[in-house]
Amino acid sequence: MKLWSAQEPDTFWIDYYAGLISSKTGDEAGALAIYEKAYAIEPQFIPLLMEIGKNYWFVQAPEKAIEYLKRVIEVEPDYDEANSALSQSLASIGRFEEAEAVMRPFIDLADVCSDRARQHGMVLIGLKRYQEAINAMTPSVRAWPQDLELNRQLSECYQLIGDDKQADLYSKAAEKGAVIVESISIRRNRDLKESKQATAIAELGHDIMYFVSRVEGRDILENALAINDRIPQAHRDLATYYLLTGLQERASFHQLKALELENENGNSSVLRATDE
Amino acid sequence: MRNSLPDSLAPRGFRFTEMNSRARIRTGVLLAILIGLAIYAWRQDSWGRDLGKIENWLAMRADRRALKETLALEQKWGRTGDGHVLAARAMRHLERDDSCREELNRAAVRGASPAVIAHESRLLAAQHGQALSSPYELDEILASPLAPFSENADAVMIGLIREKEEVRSNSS
Repeated sequence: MKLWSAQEPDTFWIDYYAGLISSKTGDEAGALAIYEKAYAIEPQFIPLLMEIGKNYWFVQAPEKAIEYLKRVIEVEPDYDEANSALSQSLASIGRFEEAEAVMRPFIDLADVCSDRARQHGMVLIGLKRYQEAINAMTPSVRAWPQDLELNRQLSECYQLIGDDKQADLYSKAAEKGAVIVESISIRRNRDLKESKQATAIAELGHDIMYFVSRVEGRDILENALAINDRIPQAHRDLATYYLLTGLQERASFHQLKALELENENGNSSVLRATDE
Repeated sequence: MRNSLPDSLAPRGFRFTEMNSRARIRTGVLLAILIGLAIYAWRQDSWGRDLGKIENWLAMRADRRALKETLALEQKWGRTGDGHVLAARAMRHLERDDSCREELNRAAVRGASPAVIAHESRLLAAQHGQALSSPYELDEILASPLAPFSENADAVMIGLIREKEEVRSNSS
């Protein structure tokens, strides 16, 4: 960084990276103060606008977040993450119609593995369009029947349209998921930051994928395999994920790898890494 | 009567017409060359401006926008090595490593500078914390004129942060 500032004394990059590091350590307010300095030099830099938007969201200032996220989308209308964050920010302050309008172009692109169906469901519930919310979330919950939020939101929708039987069904599934999700928040800190056992990370990734978020689960599983690629269950989970997202080649790779490891293991324990 | 015509008229007229047509051909050829040169200069300028626009988007990390512009560039000018290098850079920023490599392969086929392609590959590796094993290597990447300084430094920073995170995770 010293070299960089010597080379380009007026650069915004130094503050951008300082903010990024601050944000990674959980100091969002501190990060924002640094980011603002970078923004004063370069107000067009997309990752900076995105970071400011996200950090305002984290410090519970959705209106400010919206302001910056909208600027990202002006330049990058196809930026999926920015649209999703904007839609979420709008929904959080009850601007459901705008949230839905932001989401609309991306809904058809959503596969059952994206978190978009759940977000869309939440927005439609906000708009009191319960049947549409059910239609939006049902394909995802069929693929991932343990997802806590999908089950909760579907239970709410069925309750609101007076179908108590279905509401009860989803409510029970949500109850089961809630226990796991509670354990996830403890393990997230312990397994990701303290322990670095690949199997513990893979187990966490598995639970996150099935109960919380496919995308986050995928990332954690990939990280676990980067530490140790001999965890059959992690390969199985990724094979399922990639199969459902249409990435056939990657799905086959993980499927074969899982089979290979399970044969070596004699199917003794699919969750245990073969050499840990 | 014919012979009574002034000497100067017929032959001079004939000579004049002959010279005129030669001059016309010469002028025509010259004009064609000039028009060709003007078109070439305009194309080069226009091509340069289109590339510059993409480079600006890349500098702002508006990578999706830059990718769209590279497609537009391709439609306007056909596939070019330089266009593929810029597409590879956008893919690298987006951490779509496989697509980045594919674009670099295409750039090589389309005649982009091998040094520029090699440098982009090196930045991709640097971004993953590879190719940063010695200070010499790091200095070489940073000092390379084959990409803007901020491109080089950004890739190195991403790599160093990644490396640090890995070291921390392995040591705990």
